[in-house]
Amino acid sequence: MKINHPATAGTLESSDIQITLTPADSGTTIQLQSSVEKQFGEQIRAVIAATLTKLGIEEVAVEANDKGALDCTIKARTIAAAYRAADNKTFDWEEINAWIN
Amino acid sequence: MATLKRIWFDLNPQAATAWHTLLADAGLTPDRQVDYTVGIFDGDDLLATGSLSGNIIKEVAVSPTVQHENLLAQIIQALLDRLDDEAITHSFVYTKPSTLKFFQSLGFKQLASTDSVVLLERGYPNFDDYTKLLEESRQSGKPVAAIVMNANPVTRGHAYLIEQAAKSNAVVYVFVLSAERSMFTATERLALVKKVAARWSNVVVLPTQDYMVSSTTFPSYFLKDRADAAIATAQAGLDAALFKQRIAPILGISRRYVGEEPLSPVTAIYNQQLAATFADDIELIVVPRLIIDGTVVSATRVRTAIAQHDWVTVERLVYPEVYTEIKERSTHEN
Repeated sequence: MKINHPATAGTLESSDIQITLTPADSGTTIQLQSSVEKQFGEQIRAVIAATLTKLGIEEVAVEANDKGALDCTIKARTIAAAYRAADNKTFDWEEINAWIN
Repeated sequence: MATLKRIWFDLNPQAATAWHTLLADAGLTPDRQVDYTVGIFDGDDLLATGSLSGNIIKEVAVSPTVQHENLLAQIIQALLDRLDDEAITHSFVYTKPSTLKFFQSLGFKQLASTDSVVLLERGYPNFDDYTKLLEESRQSGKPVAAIVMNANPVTRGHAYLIEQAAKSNAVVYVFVLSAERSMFTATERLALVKKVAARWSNVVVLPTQDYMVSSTTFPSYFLKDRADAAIATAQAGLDAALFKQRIAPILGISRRYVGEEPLSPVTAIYNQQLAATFADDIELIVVPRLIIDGTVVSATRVRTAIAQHDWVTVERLVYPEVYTEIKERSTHEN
């Protein structure tokens, strides 16, 4: 999937995560701010990175503002932000379901 | 159960009164000059509020009785949703240093700070993008000077100021204010300054985007003393801090030129504040105004002449290429 412009998904509410994806020149960078950074920071970064890899996104700057989201939420917000950033409105659920769990 | 609602001051006097009380209790001065206001209510009790003025988040307060319940996040989210509806992806908040960390936890990033005020931004395009623009425009050589102007429109006086800087510096960056609060649009002003500045090969003209703190965007409501002098001091201090802390280092700027403003006490305070904040890091050079026909040249004088269709005066105060554009524009409008 190719990202065309910046896009955001998620909110700042408790148990949510807000993910903003911006096109980058090379590689993936993840800037994370989390209320549970010390305990789960690495895990959150890993979930975001793995989701982006599955979506085939390799050149992106990620800004994540986490308020204690579970992994399923992190995946969902990352996918939604990616589809928005790619102007893709037809979710390929079959393909997503194949790897989301 | 607390609910989040929009507050309409005119339609709901009871909520408006509660809003005033909540802000006053929080030590803020209620200022109704806002575009959009939300509140979190428990029945008729207002627990938290926040407002928007353009893309600036203002007048944010949470009742002391419900703090630690994270109502701030709901307020900010509601305001960001509203901006999102209007396709605005970039916002600012001015706040006291004591509440900085709450906004940082909501994804706002600090731009500049003084003892009394902190400016933060959120979203995109942001300062990283502006940094890229500046880096792409960077020229080599020393010393490096900067001038900030609204240039509404650019006069022979502006050109004189640029010339003084161009003569004694290797590179001069001229920043033209991007805020749309003037007779000429930001695009027109920038284009005209570029035309005029083309006379000097070492002058680079750049937009300020949102990274110069203007008195019109600066909310003074959290200052105890709202006198003009106090507002000018706080705003100038923050503007100078942003320039010194963030912009000057990117371009290696060591001097800033300003035009003398003998008649405006507020500008005098502004210049004093710039000098105080810059300290030894950036030299502030005050250039006396250019005088034509016995009076200092100012954009105000040009605008007055335009309004009066006094084209003879306009022609004396601006360069020919600017005059042509102004005249043409005026003909189109009539």
